[in-house]
Formats: sequence, structure tokens, C-alpha cells
Amino acid sequence: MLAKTFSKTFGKATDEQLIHKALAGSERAWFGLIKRYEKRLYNYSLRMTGSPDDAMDILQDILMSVYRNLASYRGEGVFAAWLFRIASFRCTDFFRQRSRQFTSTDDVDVLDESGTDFADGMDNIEGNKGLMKMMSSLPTDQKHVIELKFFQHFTFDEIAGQLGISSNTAKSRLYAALKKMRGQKGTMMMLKEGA
Amino acid sequence: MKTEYSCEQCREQLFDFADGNLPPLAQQIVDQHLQHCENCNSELSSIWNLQSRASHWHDERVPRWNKKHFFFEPSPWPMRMQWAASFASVFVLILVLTEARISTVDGLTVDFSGSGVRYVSQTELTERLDQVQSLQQTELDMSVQRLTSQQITTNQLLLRTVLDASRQERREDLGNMLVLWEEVQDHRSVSTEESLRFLIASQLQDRREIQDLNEALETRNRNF
Repeated sequence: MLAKTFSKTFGKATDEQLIHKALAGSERAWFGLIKRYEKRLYNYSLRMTGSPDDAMDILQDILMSVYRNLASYRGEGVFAAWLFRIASFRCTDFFRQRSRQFTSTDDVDVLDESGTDFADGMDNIEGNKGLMKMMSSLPTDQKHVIELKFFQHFTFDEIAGQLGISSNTAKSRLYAALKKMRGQKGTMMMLKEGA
Repeated sequence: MKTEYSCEQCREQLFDFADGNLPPLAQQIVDQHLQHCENCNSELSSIWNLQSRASHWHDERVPRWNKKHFFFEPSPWPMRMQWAASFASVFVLILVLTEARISTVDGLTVDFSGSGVRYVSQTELTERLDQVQSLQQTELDMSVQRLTSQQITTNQLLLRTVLDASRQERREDLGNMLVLWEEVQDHRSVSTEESLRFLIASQLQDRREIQDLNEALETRNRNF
């Protein structure tokens, strides 16, 4: 009942309208905005980190950062682009802190939780876990480009704007990521055949 | 006239080609390049493969979390009570800094460096004030009475002193007058005595002269 009322109230409102109301002090508008992007941001964080716990931490970090900086959003451009620029910053911060704690960024929870080795992950490559395994092997800057291009469907110009790089650099990072993923797949296939 | 792309040019267009966003002519040129370029074909396969995997991603449900608590953490104290808490903190700080001692014996007493300050209720305070006012009034009345009495006594003493002084002066004056009067009287007595003596002597002289005259007359008459 409450969810229906909430949906009727804020379901058809634009992002800008919700932002305006949230800035005026409406908690419901703010929660409406969260509801609209929460799942997208959580799955983004999940693919970036490969860990549900880390993804949740990053999601909260992103939303808190958005909450604090919402007044600085001038309505220029698409809100989602502004949102994912913040998400990129928060993710970069996360991996920077993680790199201080661990020597390798590959040491992510998903590998422990799955209880399988990398080859088994390749068998289940179409699933979420397989994709997360594949993503976890990439450097953070390449993960950002793949995420924004293939999952958030931004153009190269938009990606370049969000990451503060040129469009050509974004493409180069993407090809580098594809090459690395191809190489890993080939290695794994050879290992499987050898076994 | 048909143009052929190099691998680099092809790679620039390859993502748009995979998405089907290229104009027809560019699409045809990239397609033509791909027919004889194994490397670019491999890149395109990777792109399609990743697109396919991305499309098969099933969004995970977001774990439940308390957003309201996270963003709008309720304060355990209402705003007004926060002021009270701040005031209490400052008060405690003052107590600590002044090394105050608190005692509940004989009411709440806060001792700042040895000087006891007792906090009482409003009613008790009013009663105390009334008592103090009554005592002050009584004290004032008694003081006025005492002062009045002292003033009267002082006045009487002063008057007595003045009167005594006046009496003494008059006594002295009278004494002087009496001495003077006695002197005058003595002088008058002496004068009167002398006058009387002179008068008696004169009368005796007159009497002798009259006798002499009578004798002379008698003598004359006899002679006649």
C-alpha cells in the first residue's frame, strides 16, 4: 500500500523534480531518487568489486557522496552521467584503499565465495559470477570503461567526460581490456585441454 | 569510388559497427575490411562476446538496508533537549574548573572554592525573602527608635549643659553685681556718715553761733 502510494507520488517525477524536492528537504523525494538508481548502482559496484559486501559499502559511499553534493548538481547534462561520475570516483577510492591493504586486486571475495577455481568460472562464463571473475582480473581503469560502455551504455564522449580522459584513450583502454580477457580465456582453455 | 580502412581506422569505428550505429557507407567500408582482416574480426568477436555476456547479466537484488537511519540518523535527544545537554555539559565543565563540591545535606548545596551556594525552591525562597524583609523592617524600626532616643538624650544633656553654663554665668554676674553693690553701699554709707557728721558738725557750729549770737544779743539788750 505504502509502496503504491510512493510509486504514484514519485514514480512519474523526473530526476530533476525529485532532486529539487529533495533539496527542499523532502526525504520521500530523496528515497524516490535512491529507489530509482539503487539497483543500478549496486550491480555496478558488484561487477567492479566482485563482492556483495564491498558492493554494498561502495553503494552507500556513492549515495552518501551524492546526498552531500546534490546541491552542486546544476541540472547540466543527464543526472545519470553525473551520478556515475561520482560512482567512478568512489570506486577508484575503494580500489586505492584496497591496494594499500592487499598486494593484488585479484584477491576479491567472489573467488573465495564461489568455492571453484578459475576454470570452473569459465564454464559458467555466461553467469554473473563468471563475468565478475573476468572483470576482477582487469585493472580498475579498464573495468571503468567496460562498465560504462557495455552495462551503462554511455557513448565514448560521455565516458571520456566522466573519467576525465579523451575518447581515444577510452577506446584504447577498452581494446586493452578485450585483449586481456581474450588472453585469459585462451590460457584457461589450454589449461583445461592439458588437464 | 570506394575507400578502404586501415586496421586503426576500422578499430575506431568497430564499436559503432557492433552497435549498428554507423552510417550505411561507413558500415559497408568496415564490413569490407572485416572480410579480409582476421585481427579486426577477432576484436569484433570479443566485442560481441562481451555484449552478449553483458546482456545476460541478471541484476542482483540490493540487500535490505536502513536508508532512513543511514541518511537521517535520528538524534536520541530532541533539538531542545540538545540545548539542555549542551548547557549541562557547560555547567559540568564549570563545576570541574572551579573545583566545586556538591552536597545534598541540608538541600542541594554547591560549594565553589569554599563559598557555599545553596539552591532552594521558589516557595522557600519567597518565604526566606519575606522573613528577611520582616527582620530588616524590625531592625530599621528599632534603629530609628534608638536613634530618636539617643537624640533626645543628647538634646537634654546639651540643654542641661547650656542651662548650667547659663546659671553659672548668672551666678557669677550676680556675685559680681553683689560685690559691686556692696562696694557702692559701703561707699554710700561712708559718704552718708561723713555727710551726717558734717551736718552734725554744721548744726553744732550753727548752734554755737546761735548761742553766741543770742548771748551777744542779750548782752546788747542789757546794755540798752
